[in-house]
Amino acid sequence: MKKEGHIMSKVDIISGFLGAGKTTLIKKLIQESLSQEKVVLIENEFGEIGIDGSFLKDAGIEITEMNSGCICCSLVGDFSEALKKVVHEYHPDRIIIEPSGVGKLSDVIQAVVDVHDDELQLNSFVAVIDAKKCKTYSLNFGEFFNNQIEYASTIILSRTQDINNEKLEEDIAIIKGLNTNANIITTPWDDLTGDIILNALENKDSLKEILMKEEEICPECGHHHHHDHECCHGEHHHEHHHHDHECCHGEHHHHHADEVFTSIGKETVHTYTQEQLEEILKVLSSSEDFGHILRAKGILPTPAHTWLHFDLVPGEYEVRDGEADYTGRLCVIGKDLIEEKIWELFGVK
Amino acid sequence: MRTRIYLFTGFLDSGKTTFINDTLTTTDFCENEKTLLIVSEQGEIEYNQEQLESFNCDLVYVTSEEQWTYEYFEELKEKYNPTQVLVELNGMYNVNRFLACSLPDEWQVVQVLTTINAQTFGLYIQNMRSLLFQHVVHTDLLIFNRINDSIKKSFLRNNIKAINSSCQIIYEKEDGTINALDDDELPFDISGDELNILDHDFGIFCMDALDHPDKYAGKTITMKGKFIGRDKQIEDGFVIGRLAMVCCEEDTSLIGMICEHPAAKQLIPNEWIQVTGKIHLEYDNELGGNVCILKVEDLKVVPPLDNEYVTFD
Repeated sequence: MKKEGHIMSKVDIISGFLGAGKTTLIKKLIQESLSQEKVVLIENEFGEIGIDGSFLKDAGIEITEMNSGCICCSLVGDFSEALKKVVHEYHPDRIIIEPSGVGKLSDVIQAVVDVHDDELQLNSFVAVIDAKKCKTYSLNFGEFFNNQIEYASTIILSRTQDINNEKLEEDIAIIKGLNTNANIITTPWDDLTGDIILNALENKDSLKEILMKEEEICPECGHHHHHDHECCHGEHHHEHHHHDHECCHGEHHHHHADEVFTSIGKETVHTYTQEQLEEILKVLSSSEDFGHILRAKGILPTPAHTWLHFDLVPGEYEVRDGEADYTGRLCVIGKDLIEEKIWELFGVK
Repeated sequence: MRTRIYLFTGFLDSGKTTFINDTLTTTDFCENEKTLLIVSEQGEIEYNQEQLESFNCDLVYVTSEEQWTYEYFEELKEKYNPTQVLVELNGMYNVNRFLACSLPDEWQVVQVLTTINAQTFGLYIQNMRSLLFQHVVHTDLLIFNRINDSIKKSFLRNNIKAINSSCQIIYEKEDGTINALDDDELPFDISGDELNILDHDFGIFCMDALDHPDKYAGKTITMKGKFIGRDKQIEDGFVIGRLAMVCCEEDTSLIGMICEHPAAKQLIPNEWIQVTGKIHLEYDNELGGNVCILKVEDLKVVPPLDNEYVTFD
């Protein structure tokens, strides 16, 4: 990404307690998704599985290690120096920071912000949590643990293949109690490609945006647009619109200007068999009880750990086998949607 | 009457609850006592309240460090009037804070006991040294559990002894059997008369010489370290040593050996030196045993090491 001619370095902060799986995750991302990028890894932890030099060399990754993590000494000075050096020596596309497992995520974010370097672009704040330990850590670690969840933009549960759905739901409830905005990756890592994880981190593939785009609805204002009437895209940054829902302050003439669509979305770890899902979609596509549905889309896990993708328009739906996603996801767009009834139909809260 | 407090420290999943539970229910620890158990951590293993009650042991839970107040302990004393109190301290809590708390009259911490999972010890000491430090520095009895064949006893022991030289250590294997571990093989060969101690082995050598002075008597040793200062008792005596990081760079512990050489007066503290000499044993009243003293024959100033800190791996 370029900004006024110089290269921006995306900063990803991968936090998580010791043994949560941070290093495994970073390895997976580097091997599967970041081979085309110039990446620098800043490590402040000596992990169980060391990221060995040769692996990084093969992948063209630069690595910077900092002093042994110690929460009673301030590392801010060191860290800031390391970061500045990395930016100006390598001008990387991406800087991955693996902070010490007992540091506060908010402190690390602040330390990056405090560097005040135009080349740094905060990209994602990740908390990796061992799904088996989520509850005991939340009960006993207090601030160390809560802070990571509160400040994360994406939460990645590790080792979910080792727990049952009940425990997984319990973990999600704990996380949602601290952070309702973050994407939560619940699918076992072996089932996921690095790209899917990366997209979840960068929030690139929201179902809502895909649907809105397909329907040519402006995700900002809910209006249909002509192809040549993009909603203030291009040079301007999108800003939050005022309550009057005017897009570009009414200067454009919208097609179907009276039709304003809303979208509702849900993430779930609930599993569905093909038959169960078709039963649900049959009702949803033919009934008027749920509001005026324009489109629906979803990616959901089955009890057999495979995945179903579906698309729905009024009177019609399609279910097909597909690639695993980071968690089960549903999105519905339409008018006057009755949210509770729709979620009740899918059996999700 | 005096009420004894036993404080249990250690990380989450280090085996505190299992240890406390075994002590309470499988020994005569509770016999003729009224016991109170204060728990501030909710780990994987849970207590069986009914069972504890049958041992005349009451159970209370604490969810925040803020609760350690004089008033709170008074309240507990009033309500339960125990003869002994066991405290399971949350691994993230500040041990100093608990120990600094004023307690009711006659209440006294008599023993600090610590459990450590040997399998995660290496990872924790590298990354959470300061937390581990506060668990270990106050401890009287330390139990390493879940030891398997891939873990070196000397690594465990030396790291602990650098923090707390007086605590007693118990080694428990994965199958629960205790202290049947052989001493590790040393990383250097001591069968010959001459021994060149590599920089990396400095800590292990000094610790082993402290524990088993007899086996080094008469051997010629060459090693590198810092001139720490002159010995107070021995004329021409000085200490060669290096620092082990016990908490962080601000908090280190000295590992070293007493030497003797006429040039002791001319050395500058913290100057790096290499010494060669023969080990003699001398009886130390304070220790109640022999200590090694290196009678230096050859001494030279050398450049500092890249990594001056001592490790035990």
